[in-house]
Amino acid sequence: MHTVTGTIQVLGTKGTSFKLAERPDDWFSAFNGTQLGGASVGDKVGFTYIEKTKDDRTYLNIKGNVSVKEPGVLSPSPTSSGAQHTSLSTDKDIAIARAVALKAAVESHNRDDAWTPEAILKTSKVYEDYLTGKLAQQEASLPKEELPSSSWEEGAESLRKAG
Amino acid sequence: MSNVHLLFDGDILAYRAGFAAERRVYFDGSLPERGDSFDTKKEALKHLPEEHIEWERELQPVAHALENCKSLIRNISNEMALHFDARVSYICFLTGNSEVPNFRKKVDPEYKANRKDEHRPTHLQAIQDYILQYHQGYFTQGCEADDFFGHAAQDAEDSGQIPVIVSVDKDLKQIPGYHYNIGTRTLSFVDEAEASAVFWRQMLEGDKVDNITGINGIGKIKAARYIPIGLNDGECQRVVEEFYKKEFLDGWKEKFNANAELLWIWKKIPDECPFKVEEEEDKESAATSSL
Repeated sequence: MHTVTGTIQVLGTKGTSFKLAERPDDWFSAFNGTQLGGASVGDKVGFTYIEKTKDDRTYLNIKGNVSVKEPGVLSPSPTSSGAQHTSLSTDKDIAIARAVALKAAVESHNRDDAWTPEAILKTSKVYEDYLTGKLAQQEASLPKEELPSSSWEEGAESLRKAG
Repeated sequence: MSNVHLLFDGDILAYRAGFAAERRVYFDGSLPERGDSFDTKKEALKHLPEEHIEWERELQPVAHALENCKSLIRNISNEMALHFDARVSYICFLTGNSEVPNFRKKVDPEYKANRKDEHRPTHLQAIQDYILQYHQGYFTQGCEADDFFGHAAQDAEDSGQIPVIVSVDKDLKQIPGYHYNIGTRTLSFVDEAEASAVFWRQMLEGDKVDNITGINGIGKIKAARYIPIGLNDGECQRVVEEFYKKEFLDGWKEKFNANAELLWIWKKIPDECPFKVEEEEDKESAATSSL
C-alpha cells in the first residue's frame, strides 16, 4: 500500500481514473467514481493505492477515498497556459493559420448545396486546430487506454466482505 | 499468436457432465417386482396409468461423471485453440452462495422457487469439487455465476486476450462478445446492440425457467418484434415501460424494477441495473414525513 499526493492532470473518460501531473505515465484507477469525491483536473489530491500486476501490466488501484487537499491548483485547460504547447506563437502566425483554414473550409463546402456560414466556421476551426497543433495536443491529453478500476477478483472479494 | 480466455459456465458443465452419467428408468411401481422399464415417462405412459409410474436413477460411477466434465473442457478448449489459432486459458465459474446468499432471492423470494432437487444430478457435488480443484473453478458468492462473466470478460479483453463465454444460458447473451454454446457446439458473436436487445426482450418475456413473470402473452417472437435490434436503450425502455404500465397498473414501477434487478446480468462486480425507474414514496411514509 502506497500513499501519494499530487495534482490531477487528466481525468479518464469514465471518471474513475486519473493521471497526476507529478506522475504523467501512471493511471490511478478507482473501483467506483464516488471514491474520487468530485475531484477534478487541477485539484491537489491525496490517496492510497496498491500496485497489482497482471499479465505483465501494472495496475494502480486506489484504496478508499481520494481527498482533495487544494482545489484547482492547476489550470484545467492546457491551452490557457499560453503558447508553450502550440507550435504557432505569434498573433500573426495564428491569423495566417486562420486564413488558410478558412480557405480550406470554403473549398470543403464547395459542393455542399446546404452550406451555412456556421458550418464553414466549424470546419475552419478543425483545420485551424490542426494547423496550430491544438488538435494533436488535445488528442495527446486524452487517456490512451483507461484501465479497469479493479479486477473481477477484487470485485468478488469486496462482494464477499460486504455480504 | 493471440490468447483466448474461455469463461466456462461451471454450473452448466457440472449439470451436463452429471446427467450424462445417469439416466432415469420408469417402471410400474404398483407391482411387487419391477417389470418392464422405459427410458422416458412419455413411453411409460403409453403402457401404464400415470399413478403407477415410478422412476429411479441408473447411475454410472462418479469417475465417469468427472471424465465427462474433463472431456467437455478439453474438447472445447481444443476446438477454440484451432478456431482462433491461439493459446487457450480458462476459468470455470460456479454458483456458490454458501457464504453470501444470492441477492436475487432478496428481491423476490419466489426466484427459482420452481427448481426442484430431483432435477440435480446425483454426482453434482463431486463434479463441482473436481472443477474447483482441477479446472480453475471459482465459487461465486452473493450472486450467480452468470454475474461474473461480464467483469471477467472485460478483464480478459483489457489484458489483450479474446474472451469467449462458454455456456448454453441465453441470459449471458446480454454480454457482448464471443459465445460458445456447449449444447449446439457453435460459436457466435454478440454485438452491443444485440446484447442490449436481449435484456429488454427478457423484460417483456420474463423467464419461466427462473420463475420471473413478464408481460402476459408476450413470448420470444413478439418480444423480438417490439424490441428490434438497433433501438437504443432509451427507446427500448419506453416500449417496455408502456407494457408494464398496462399490465401492472399502479404497481408497474415496483414490478419493472424487480424484474430489472432479477434479469440484469452484471457487467462489473458488483453491479446494478442502470435502467430502474424512480418509485414514489409510499403513502404512509410520505404522510409521516409531512407531519
